[in-house]
Amino acid sequence: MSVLLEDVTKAVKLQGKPHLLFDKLNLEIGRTSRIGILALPKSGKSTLLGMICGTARPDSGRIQKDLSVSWPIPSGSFIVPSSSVAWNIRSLARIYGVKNPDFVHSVGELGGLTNFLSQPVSRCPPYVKGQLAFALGIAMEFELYLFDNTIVPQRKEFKLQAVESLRQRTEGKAILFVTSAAQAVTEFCDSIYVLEQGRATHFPEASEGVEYFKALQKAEAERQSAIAADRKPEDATPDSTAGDDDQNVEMATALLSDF
Amino acid sequence: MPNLIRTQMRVIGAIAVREINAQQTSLMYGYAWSLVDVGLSVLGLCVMKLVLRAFNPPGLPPATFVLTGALPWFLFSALYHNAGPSIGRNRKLLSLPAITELDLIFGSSVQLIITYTIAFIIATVISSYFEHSGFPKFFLGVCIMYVGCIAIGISFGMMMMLLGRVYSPAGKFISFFMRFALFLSSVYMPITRFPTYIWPYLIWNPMLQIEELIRQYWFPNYVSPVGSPFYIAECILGMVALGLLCERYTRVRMPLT
Repeated sequence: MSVLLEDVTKAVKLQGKPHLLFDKLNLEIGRTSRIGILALPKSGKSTLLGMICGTARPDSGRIQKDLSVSWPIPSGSFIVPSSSVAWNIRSLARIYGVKNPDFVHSVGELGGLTNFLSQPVSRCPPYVKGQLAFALGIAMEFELYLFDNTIVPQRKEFKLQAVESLRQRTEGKAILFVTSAAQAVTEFCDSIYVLEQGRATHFPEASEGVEYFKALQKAEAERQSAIAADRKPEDATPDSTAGDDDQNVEMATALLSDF
Repeated sequence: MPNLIRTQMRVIGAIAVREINAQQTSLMYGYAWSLVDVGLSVLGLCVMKLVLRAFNPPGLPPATFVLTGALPWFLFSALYHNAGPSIGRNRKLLSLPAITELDLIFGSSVQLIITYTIAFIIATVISSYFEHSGFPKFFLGVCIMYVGCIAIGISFGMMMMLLGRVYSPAGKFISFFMRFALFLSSVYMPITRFPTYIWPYLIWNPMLQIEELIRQYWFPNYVSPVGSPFYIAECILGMVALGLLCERYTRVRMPLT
């Protein structure tokens, strides 16, 4: 019982030119696996999640799944800002056939939103939408939860509660966390895939995968800074030294990690 | 399979409720204003018909006559205009794997069907009361034709959606032709008011046949010379198949970016 991607190929158009995102990608997610996928920015992380949950189609290859899959959490694009928090929860509950009459209240508690249930989302503080999207995602019963870029909302006051709720709700279930932030993955995932040039390399030990990915990030950062230096030779000042180049690489690496 | 169908029905129902809630949200009484909108259009038509009193077949009550033609046409028109925009309006819902483009079209169509059916029932009950035209002669026949009108409207909408994605301004040309179609589909006057030599150029139109048959099944003293239930059934089957094919082609080959 798993999600299985076999020889999946997908190309998208970037600035009008075809760009191959996945080239015969193979991936397996077991029923209780906690898998992280590390990938550089713009390497098709969200597209991959879209294909796994069924909102995007591969150009070729097969995706087999025999477990229920969530949408990429914490995507809240379906939340209607002009409607109340409770209305949004009820609306999603109707779509997923949730019959529990206390569902609105339980999502409110999961997301720390009990004080905002009757207020329109647009009139709530900015963090409410993120917390609502997170709570809606984990409140639903799925066998595989997909997380895109972040796994829990970053607000200090809510983060601990969110981590605890997440652990409780996803116990014995599968998690797939796709991100560019290597550190976050080690906290929640047992094994790692690193996406590189459209293919995935599996690392059963998360720490090995993180090391490999950091090296990949560094190489990418060096490549980016070399491209930037080629583009703007006139920006270079006469007193610039080799130390500045190293500094650029470090800054680019840090930026990529933050992304 | 029954589980899949049950799931899709639930999703369509949820989208329909969402659409109803989203109607006229800026106004107090929200959705009620959608009914008022339809009611005002119908009232305007009835007043026009009563004032003109032209093209009215003898022995038929004018307001009920125009209502039985205009409301099914309005519903057809609303449904075919709705298919493409319903996806654009709700495209953010497509991030949920439970929802497909077809669900959005159907869910949004359910909202229109509810609105127009309520308006149809209220308007025809009132007009029948004041004009003493009574209950429909063959109620089931009227219902079947009404459902046919819905099927044709949604299918035609899905075909137009494909055309719209291939060539965006296509809708403007279609609207131009549909204005003529309104007059040539027996909405305001029965086919008997047209010269017989142009009938062969008109009766291919399934909407004309549906309108004619609704009147035939409604009024005891009206017999349409052209309505054929079998022809309508063939058209519905063909259009539904073609509409679904177009929708699938649009979804797979020309997705919204």
